[in-house]
Amino acid sequence: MEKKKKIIDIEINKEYCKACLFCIDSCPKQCLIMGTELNSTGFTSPVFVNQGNCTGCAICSLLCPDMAIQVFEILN
Amino acid sequence: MGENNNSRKLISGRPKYILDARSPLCSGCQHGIISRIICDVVEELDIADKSIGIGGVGCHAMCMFTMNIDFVQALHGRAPAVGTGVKRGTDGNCIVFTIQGDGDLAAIGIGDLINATTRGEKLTTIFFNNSGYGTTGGQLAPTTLIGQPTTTTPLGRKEGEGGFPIHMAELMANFAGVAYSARCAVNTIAQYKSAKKAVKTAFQKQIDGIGYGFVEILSACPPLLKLKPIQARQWFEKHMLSEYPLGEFKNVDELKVNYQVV
Repeated sequence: MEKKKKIIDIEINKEYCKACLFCIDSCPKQCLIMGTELNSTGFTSPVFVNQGNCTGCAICSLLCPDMAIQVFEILN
Repeated sequence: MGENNNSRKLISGRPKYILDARSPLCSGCQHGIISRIICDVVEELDIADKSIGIGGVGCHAMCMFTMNIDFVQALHGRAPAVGTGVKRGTDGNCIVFTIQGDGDLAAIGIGDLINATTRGEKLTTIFFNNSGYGTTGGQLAPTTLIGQPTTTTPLGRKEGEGGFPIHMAELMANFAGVAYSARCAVNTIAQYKSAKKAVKTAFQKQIDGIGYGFVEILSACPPLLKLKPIQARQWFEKHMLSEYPLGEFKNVDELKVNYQVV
């Protein structure tokens, strides 16, 4: 029987992000890319792409120095 | 934040004891990850209502403004002495931990730290080592690497002029009052997990009343190195880890000496 794949959603708090790129560098599945939208302090923030590849390992969230990333599993 | 409703489940988010505000640290400063580890450990051990942190002076002290844990601000380098007062003044009922940077702990505060361990205090020290004085503009610190340029040594630290970097975790392992001494990093997820385990063990040594717990956590300071955060991470992997080996240097369940309870 095939194991049901988890569907993951990542929320990034744009105001807390300081564009250090640690999350993009650490992601093993390349699910994050840099966005172009600026926040109030002039930093851009990452955007969640490739939702199908994301395994929900939460490395991006744990290694974010500004704790701006929340990882959710979508139920049902 | 971090609600668990029917449609989605939170896997990882902001820790419970981190305040809901923007962090005051620079872009790419790994002190934020270390404060996350401390808050996660305090939450897992369920000691938030009886834990008191002592902050020194430096970049690491900005972390205490992001945490929803009680803190006392000590003078530069005097955190173990203030921690001794808090611990004894509360009859040992409080869990007291100090957060100290490398200029704070390894330069001006090294005497206070060593004397606190020789007195057999049951404290926990989290040592933020970023190999330089970040707050005051990047001067030479005792932990600066050989050849690393700083504002006071623009051509790099030389042995004959500034001496060799001090290895605090190995040094602390020699003292009789220390129950746990380790060095960790937070560059990769494997290092993050071992750092969290080390911080938890250091707190546990205090809760069990065994002895002093000391954890040195290495981090890179991008503005000090004049590098971008990602390049600072690569510099860290290349230079910092070869100078400072990671691992546990002491982990005992019982001290060799018997300290009388005051």
